[in-house]
Amino acid sequence: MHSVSKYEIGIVDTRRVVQTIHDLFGFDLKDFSLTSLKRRLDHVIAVFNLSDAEGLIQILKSETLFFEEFLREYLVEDTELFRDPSLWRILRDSIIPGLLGCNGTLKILLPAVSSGEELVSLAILLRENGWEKDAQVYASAFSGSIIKQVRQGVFDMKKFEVSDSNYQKLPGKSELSKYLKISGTSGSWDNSLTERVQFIRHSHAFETIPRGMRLILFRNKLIYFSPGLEDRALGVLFQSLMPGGYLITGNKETISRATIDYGFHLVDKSESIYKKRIE
Amino acid sequence: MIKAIVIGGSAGSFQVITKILSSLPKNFPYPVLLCLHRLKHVRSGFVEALAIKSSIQVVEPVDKEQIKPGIAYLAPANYHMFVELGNRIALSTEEPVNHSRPSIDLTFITAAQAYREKLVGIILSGANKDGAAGLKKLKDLGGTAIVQDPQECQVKTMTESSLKLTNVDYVLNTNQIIEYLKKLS
Repeated sequence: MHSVSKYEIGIVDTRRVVQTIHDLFGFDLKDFSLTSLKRRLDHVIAVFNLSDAEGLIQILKSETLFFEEFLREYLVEDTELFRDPSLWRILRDSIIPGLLGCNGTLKILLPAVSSGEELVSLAILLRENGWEKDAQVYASAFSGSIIKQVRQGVFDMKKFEVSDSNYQKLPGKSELSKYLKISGTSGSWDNSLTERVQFIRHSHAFETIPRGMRLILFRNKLIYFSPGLEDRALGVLFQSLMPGGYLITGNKETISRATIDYGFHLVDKSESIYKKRIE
Repeated sequence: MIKAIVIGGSAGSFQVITKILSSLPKNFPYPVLLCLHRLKHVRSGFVEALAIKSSIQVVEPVDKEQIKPGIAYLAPANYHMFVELGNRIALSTEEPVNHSRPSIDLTFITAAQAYREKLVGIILSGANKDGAAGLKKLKDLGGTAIVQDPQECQVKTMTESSLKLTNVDYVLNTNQIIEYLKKLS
């Protein structure tokens, strides 16, 4: 549990950090929503035990590799395994079985992952239903440090209780603990769950996203994006998706552009499931 | 000059908030931001229950929704609700604060940063200290801080924690809160 951080970055210092990161790494933090921006900078400064914005700027300038770690902490991680069990049930019972009827490997993309919970939930679903060999999962991230952490399989045991409760509501076919190695307060998931995943690193231009996806799981990412970044991301993802494929966002993220500009059907409003028209 | 009302509550606050919403004038001229602790896995039913008797519209906002006067915005299950610059709602899945998501502290703090002295904040009955730090921030930034009279609260922890931390403007019972809000409109 985190309490409200003590140090609060001011507007002037926020601008200085944004400028520094833009100058050094060509990455624009203004692409993320501003309320989050200030709060996330406070979080990063606290996590790395820095005194203030100046301390953050100094370490960004002096240690080139620190920016990767900065991004990992800056981006908000997935909260739990099987968040919204009702959505995972729809994926298991209708969407994925329907897509498996199409020709070729089922390609599934998780864009802009910031931690592994969503990815591992999907991997468990595929394994429990015997679909692993029929599907290829791709996960993209803004930072190599995120990819490294996801590959290592670190799982925060504080999330176990809620994750287990979600898994039982699904309900899963086994025990969630079967997929986790638990020792005290630290845990990790079974590495074999993510070993076949193809990880892709990209900048805020999403330039390396592959095509041919039939399912894109993109939940609770847009809430942190500025309208500009949202536009860019959706433009790329719409291109990546095959006709008849599905794009799923968080249940409180609506994308009017999907239906208006791109002719998607909103097939399930309460779970935010969009389907690309078959041309 | 007021721009918004923000209300936080937990255990024992449902009837109070229902009574407040049903007593507001239909043309209440401010947005009402509601952050109430709720079961994270029950997504539907709550907003409908509040809307039944409310005299103003009650909605669960989507991310980036424009905040408008005369509408009550209820923080959705399992999301924090922030006020974003440009008078919009921002939702977040950041870690729980005081074991809570939505966190009353975070809604109050971001609303206070957006509206400063033009904000009225009200803390209701609850069994958690969430909201106390948020109300303090609201008061520090010039807003008007109101706490439901602990004598009237089903559970006093939340209001008493708020009173300990902040020299509030008013301690009021439900009827007095309603009178106060009516005078604003």
